[in-house]
Amino acid sequence: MTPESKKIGLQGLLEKKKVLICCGSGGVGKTTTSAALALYASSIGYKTIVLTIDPAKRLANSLGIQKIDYQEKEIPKSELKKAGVEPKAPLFAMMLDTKRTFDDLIVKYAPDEAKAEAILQNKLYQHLSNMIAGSQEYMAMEKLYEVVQDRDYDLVVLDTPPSRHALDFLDAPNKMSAMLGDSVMKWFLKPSLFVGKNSLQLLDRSVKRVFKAFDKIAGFEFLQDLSQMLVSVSGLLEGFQERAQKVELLLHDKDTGFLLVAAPESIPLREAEYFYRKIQENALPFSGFIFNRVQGVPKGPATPPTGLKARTQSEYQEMVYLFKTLAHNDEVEIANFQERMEFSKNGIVFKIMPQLDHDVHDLAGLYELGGKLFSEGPK
Amino acid sequence: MSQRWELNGLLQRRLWIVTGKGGVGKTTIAAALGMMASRQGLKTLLVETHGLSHLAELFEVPEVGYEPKSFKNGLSLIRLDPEAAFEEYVLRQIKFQFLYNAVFNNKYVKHFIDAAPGLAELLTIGKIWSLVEDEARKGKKPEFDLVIVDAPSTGHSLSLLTVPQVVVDAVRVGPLKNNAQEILALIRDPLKTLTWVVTLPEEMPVNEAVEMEEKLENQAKVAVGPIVLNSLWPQVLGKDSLQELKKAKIENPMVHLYRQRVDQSDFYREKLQERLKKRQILELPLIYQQKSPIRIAEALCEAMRTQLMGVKP
Ligand SMILES: Nc1ncnc2c1ncn2[C@@H]1O[C@H](COP(=O)(O)OP(=O)(O)OP(=O)(O)O)[C@@H](O)[C@H]1O
Ligand SMILES: Nc1ncnc2c1ncn2[C@@H]1O[C@H](COP(=O)(O)OP(=O)(O)OP(=O)(O)O)[C@@H](O)[C@H]1O
Ligand SMILES: [Mg+2]
Ligand SMILES: [Mg+2]
Repeated sequence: MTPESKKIGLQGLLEKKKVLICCGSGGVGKTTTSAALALYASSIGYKTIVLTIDPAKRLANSLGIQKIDYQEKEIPKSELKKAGVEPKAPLFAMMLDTKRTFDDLIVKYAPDEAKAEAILQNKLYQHLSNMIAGSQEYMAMEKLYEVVQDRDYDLVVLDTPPSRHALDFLDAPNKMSAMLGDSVMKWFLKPSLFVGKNSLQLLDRSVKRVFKAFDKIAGFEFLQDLSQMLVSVSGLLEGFQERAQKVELLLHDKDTGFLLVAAPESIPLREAEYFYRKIQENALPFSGFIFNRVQGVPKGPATPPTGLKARTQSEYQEMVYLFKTLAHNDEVEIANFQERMEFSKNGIVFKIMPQLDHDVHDLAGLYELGGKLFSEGPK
Repeated sequence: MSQRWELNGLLQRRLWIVTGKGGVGKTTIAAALGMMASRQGLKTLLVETHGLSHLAELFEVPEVGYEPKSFKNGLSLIRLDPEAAFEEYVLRQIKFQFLYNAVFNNKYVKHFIDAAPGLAELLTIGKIWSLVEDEARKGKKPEFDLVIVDAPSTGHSLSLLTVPQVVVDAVRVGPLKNNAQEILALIRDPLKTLTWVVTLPEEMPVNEAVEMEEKLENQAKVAVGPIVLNSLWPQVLGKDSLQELKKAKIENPMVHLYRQRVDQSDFYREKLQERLKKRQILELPLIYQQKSPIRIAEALCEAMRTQLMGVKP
């Protein structure tokens, strides 16, 4: 266990951080946690925005952001009050799209409309654009940069997509430029490919070898298509790279913090461990773990009330056992995890959010969770 | 009337692909299915498709690599690796290692696969195809009767299953196109390939399962097998007991929460049944009696067997 003195609360974190990024594997509660965190922060006086990704419909409704229009929406005070929240600062929300995003990048970084159009119309591009690794994750980062740069929020909370390939978004810009910088790729970027098969004679021997190999595998026409697409995309690279560098600086900034949301089960916690190591490897500012949906034992007599049928009694006992086991398992998993991770750093937040007895799709539920996040109690 | 599956029919397929939203239990179900198949005497290969698959960990065996490794009667495990698959594929086409080494310096290969859209998926599904079909194409008896893939979560799984069509459309001629067509022939043959969609009794997993079922059928054109509704709340209190507690006005928070959990499970079970009328849904309980992932998988294997063999528990 971490010594109590080394832990700091979320409140302490807010004093230091301007951007909090909630990441973690699929379905663990990233979106819920981001919203709860933002809501609570605004209630204690931070002007906050939450950038959310694919929220459940009812949650989007509660936040007033049913549409993806990249608009920041303020959540009306009246709505907050209805949910029992007395906000000291305004709360905003915005939905990010994780689809069709690569097209946006092309339009954004193309030198002119015609060039953008040429790429968007490229047959190969159309086939492949929605598979480009990490582009969705990257778009979320771009938007984050814009909001942090151009607005005056005290706190920006970013939700992240369920990224199978942990933290893909961090690598996305690097991957793209690494590919285009590679020698193999450079050959593809040579206009000589357009001339046709005969032009191969003009190439030097090693290059010729490469093309022969590719020709054998994929066919020459395909190579031409590919080359054509890459030539047009490579024109955008400069702007793209420049921006990517700025985004990366923001992610590494001391005002930024990564929060890892995890479920208290053995396999998911292994995954959280992997995420954590990735964050360390990338030298990103890590702020803490949030264990979500941790089961507690509900209040109630542990022994069945007397006077019931024998069968009912034994079934009641089984129910008590069920609840206790679930709570116990979670507790053990979390303890093991902490032991394995050997937190050495000061200032890492470690929080437990209980499993609520209902889905969390309304402001009241989010506020309840937010309260737990910020409570300074033993757990 | 909804489709009914029967264990023997399912086991005649050659390739099962287990998919679903993140965290719903894909890896656990893949393991349970592997146990089920090997118990019926099939030589079964479990496939990890990504670095975080944890199947080896679940079975409490050392990590495996790119070669299938048998670790238990009738069960083998392999971890796919796009880079190794790339080398294997290129070598099949050009046949000279020295040429491969000259052209594809290792560093380039990694970047290339990382960055080229869809390539990692193509290599993965291509390798799966060769694991299923290689021997048969040479007229030999296949090494494995059944290949079970622990696929990535929904969106990435869909890329895996749709990328061969992209290649067929985009590439005009050549071996790449031929291979893609062969892959399609395997995954779109309902007598050979089945997908298992795993979900939970919660809103988003149910929605995603419904969407996935539709896309598998219409977009990827891959046959959909049983839907696995995992982690239903265990009904430890029978109807009579619940009634008696109600009559005796015993309504403490524990009983209250218990009822709520049962209601939630029922609600989403009905919702799933309603929206996937033609599918058979296997209902699996939350296993609380066991703690280790392998024991959980064993318990789920039992539960699926019971439902697929039509044996009343
Ligand atoms: N503490 C909690 N108690 C009860 N329900 C919860 C809790 N946290 C999250 N949920 C519910 O779990 C579901 C998944 O949560 P959420 O959408 O936040 O996960 P996510 O990590 O963003 O998922 P994805 O990876 O798909 O984006 C939602 O229906 C949410 O209401
Ligand atoms: N029916 C069940 N009862 C109890 N625990 C379960 C059940 N099904 C799965 N689990 C547990 O839930 C956790 C998540 O399961 P699993 O890792 O199989 O999900 P997954 O869908 O493969 O996740 P990912 O998307 O991260 O790969 C595991 O710790 C597993 O042991
Ligand atoms: Mg989410
Ligand atoms: Mg898994």
